[in-house]
Amino acid sequence: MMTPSFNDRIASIKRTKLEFNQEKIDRNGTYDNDDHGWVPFSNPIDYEKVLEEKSGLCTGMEAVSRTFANYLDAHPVYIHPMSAFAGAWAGAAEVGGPWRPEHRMDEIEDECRRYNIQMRGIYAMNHVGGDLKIGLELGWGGLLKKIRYYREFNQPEVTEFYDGEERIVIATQNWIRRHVDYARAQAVTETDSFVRENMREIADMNEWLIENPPRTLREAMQFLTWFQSIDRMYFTNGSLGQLDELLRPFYEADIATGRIQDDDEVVWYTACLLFNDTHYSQIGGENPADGHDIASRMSFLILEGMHRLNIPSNIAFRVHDRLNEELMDRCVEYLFADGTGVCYSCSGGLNKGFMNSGYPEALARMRAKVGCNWTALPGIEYCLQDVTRICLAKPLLLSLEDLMETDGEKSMESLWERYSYHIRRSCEMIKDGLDWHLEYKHLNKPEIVLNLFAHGPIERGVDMSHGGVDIVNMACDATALATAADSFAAIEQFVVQSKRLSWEELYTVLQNNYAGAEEIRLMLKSTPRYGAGNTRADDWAKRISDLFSAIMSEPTKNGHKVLPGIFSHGSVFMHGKNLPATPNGRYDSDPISHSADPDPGFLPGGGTAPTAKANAVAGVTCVSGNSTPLQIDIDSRLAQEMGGREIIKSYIKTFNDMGGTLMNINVVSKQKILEAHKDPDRYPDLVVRVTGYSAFFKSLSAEYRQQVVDRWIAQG
Amino acid sequence: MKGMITDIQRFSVHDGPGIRTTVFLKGCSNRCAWCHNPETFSLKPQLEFFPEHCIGCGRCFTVCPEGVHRMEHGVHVVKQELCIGCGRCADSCYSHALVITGRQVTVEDVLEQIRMDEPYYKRSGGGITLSGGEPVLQWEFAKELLKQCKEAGIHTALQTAGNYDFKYLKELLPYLDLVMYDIKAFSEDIYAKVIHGDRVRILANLKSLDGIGIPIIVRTPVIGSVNDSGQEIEDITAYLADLKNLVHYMLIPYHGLGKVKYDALGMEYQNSFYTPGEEQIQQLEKIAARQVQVYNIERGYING
Repeated sequence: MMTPSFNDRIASIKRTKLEFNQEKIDRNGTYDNDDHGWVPFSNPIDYEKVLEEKSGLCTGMEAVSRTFANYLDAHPVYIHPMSAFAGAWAGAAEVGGPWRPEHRMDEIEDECRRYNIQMRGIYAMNHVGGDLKIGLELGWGGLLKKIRYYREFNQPEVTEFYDGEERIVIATQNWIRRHVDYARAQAVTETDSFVRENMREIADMNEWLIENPPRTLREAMQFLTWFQSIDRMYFTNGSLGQLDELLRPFYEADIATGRIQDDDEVVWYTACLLFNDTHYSQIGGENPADGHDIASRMSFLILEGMHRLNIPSNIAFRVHDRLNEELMDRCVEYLFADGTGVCYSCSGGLNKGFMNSGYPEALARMRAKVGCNWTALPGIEYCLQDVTRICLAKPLLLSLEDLMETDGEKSMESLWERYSYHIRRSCEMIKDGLDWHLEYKHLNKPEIVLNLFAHGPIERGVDMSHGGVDIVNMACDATALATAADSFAAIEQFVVQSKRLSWEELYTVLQNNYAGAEEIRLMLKSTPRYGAGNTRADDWAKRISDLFSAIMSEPTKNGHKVLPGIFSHGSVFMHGKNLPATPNGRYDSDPISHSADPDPGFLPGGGTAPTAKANAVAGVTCVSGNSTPLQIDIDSRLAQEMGGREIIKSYIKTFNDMGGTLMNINVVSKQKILEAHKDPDRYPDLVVRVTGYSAFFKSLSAEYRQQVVDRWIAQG
Repeated sequence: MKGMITDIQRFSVHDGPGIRTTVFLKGCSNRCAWCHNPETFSLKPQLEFFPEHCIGCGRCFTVCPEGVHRMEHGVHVVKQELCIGCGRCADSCYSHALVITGRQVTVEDVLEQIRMDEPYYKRSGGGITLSGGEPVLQWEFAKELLKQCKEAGIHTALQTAGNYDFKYLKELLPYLDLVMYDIKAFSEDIYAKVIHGDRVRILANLKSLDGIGIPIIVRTPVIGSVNDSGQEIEDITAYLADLKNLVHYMLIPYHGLGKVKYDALGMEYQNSFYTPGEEQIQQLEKIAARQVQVYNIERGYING
């Protein structure tokens, strides 16, 4: 057979990806989270779970590392015949949970429910960024030597930490070795000459990588493939960091030696890496010393691989004052062509915020987009972002309750005073949980994978979450900003100013979920909304954001920093289900507003405008180094028009100028999204950025698809 | 200074260069039969009724001083001919079944909206566009608004159809960076049948405008069954051929999206027009390109 072109190989792995997606849906139904890269293997993985003797749980470094090693030992091998790389993962191992009984913080769970706090951060993990440069320099063998060196050097009384880390590296090497054997066997039996040769190359490459650091670009990307696979298996999250800079030296060396003569080969590598997983990464960005842009040829090739494969992926382009115009232009070109693409991480707000949190500009520039909504210093900063949220709307309902229970004056001031109290209480619960988490996490589920790729844990013999790295910046996101702001404005307009409703009447209609009071509901809903600009709801949104930001920025009782942001992820349904009717006309259990976005149809007359939306989000962004993302959906007509690309580029840059932190954009026609919602099978390869993550539209549940559709409908 | 507007549209990307804010002024001296913005015909506020939104609360019956709202055989009937445009019913209609189109605003009111997106104008080369209706009918308001925008360094554009005494347009020109001038037809017959404007005056005003030196984009809405013949486009572009300040000429295909507005206003919708196909538009563009520079929004300059 003829050697397939690089595009043929990419098309082949894309077909497989679509087949896998269908298999996942057939097997488990729709799923609303990141697609990730897991492969639906035929059989469940049969591995022995090691339990602690005392607790009977799979917690602590000893039990966790042994169990995870068993999982890796039992994990099947996988090599797609058209891929440049070996390896895939089947799902996350069940390790490290639940936490030991004495380490559980159960006593505030009822109060958390009362405040509609559903994600406390405690018990979570990962959600930080590793520095993969460590691994690319040392290789698995070098990491093993490093562990052994520091175990010897530090001479800890208990060697459990080092033993566990060593166990994981060895298990990874063994897993790679099994792939080598598999590839060698395939190379013998395979009849297709290309596949036969590909298998031989994969076997040779990985035989080297078992002990040695990568020498070539292909080896470096294979190393990253192994990393992101075990990272996912241990905990379904992760990032590669500043991907273009990690790979640039290897690419340049390969070009210099003539090993790579066709950039399409690199595009194929990139597509194969993205096929393996949707780990977050960044292209473009700032040199720490002077802020000049660091984009390279490698940045373009990563983008090209993303475009040609066109499946869910999570690459961010870094927007800053000295960005690479050509790279940005290409990003927008592919956004228009594919309907989705990179997201836009903005230094304008992120750097200012991180500096506002007390760090020098050079460190701010080094932070990379390493998650759904967050950035972090790869390998230096422990942050646990995106897994802690408070609800800004429920405290308003609790405040109303407080007012109704007292005979005192009922006014906006007294309502705000109670609201401030409840927001503080919400923040305190989160902060106490974070202190608790930092105290006990390492004893239950250590950061066993990321410790290898951070600066400090191995050197000190200390888990990343417990002093292994120098910088600890915990984070917390607020949700339901528009729900709360529009509610405050509605109360002010119709209860306090026009007195169309008494406090008691308002309270009663809310208690009754607006039953028999549709006119009142519509009246409250008619209040000029947050996002329209210069409305009272805009003022309330700013005031609420400032309040949350100020309180959350205060250190925890143990003195840890917390960086506030506003982000709901895609969980607007989950958070809405536990939230009774609100004064903005929202029914009990309806979804909350999305992140810091105004509710769809926020302009007078029910429309929306991307500029108004961006102004609103930039105006309420917490200046902390955490992010407050903006979700934008652009009609594909603009993509077909001359000058459309320039308009979107200007729009993104202006958002960055105004202090924005992150922009997620979709481009698709309203007709197509409506058709795909009605019949998801019609567009099996339609990819949308739901929030910070992207997904096949088809794989989303009907209510998540509706969320995306609602945004389009609101555009008129 | 006050003006009557129907809407202020932000992130407007089809009304001139860059990201713009378009202000739609009420009142039109052409009132073409195919227009998709019939709410801009009259200079006065008008009531729109969207019965599918009505929840039957009956509040409009009690607040209307003119008896516009009636219940006939269980159906909410709106006698729009009785409406004085006071807006009381719309103010009390929280379901948005009743909407007043047309509101009186000050220049400062509009500027407040315009300033919100000023950073985008600077980044994108955008600005503001006055559209309508025919914005020149409210020339004093338009002049003051444009003047203040110019003083603020904001790019200004005007969309006009030219049916007025040129002296009014002349008042605005010192404050304009771009004029988008509609020539909807050339033949006298079309003007007589479906355009209320004065053909001679419209064509003469374009020549007068060209004498001033401001960049001009001329546009023709191509209406199936009205002006979609090659001869019509050839005649228009022959007239344009000697303009000195013509940036380019554009053909804009008709769309029938205005029907819902006619229904809401209680106006009769003339359903005899059709949307010309892409192939036909390309043929007409080729004809036009023989005499002027032609620009297509998706394909750019077709003359190369």
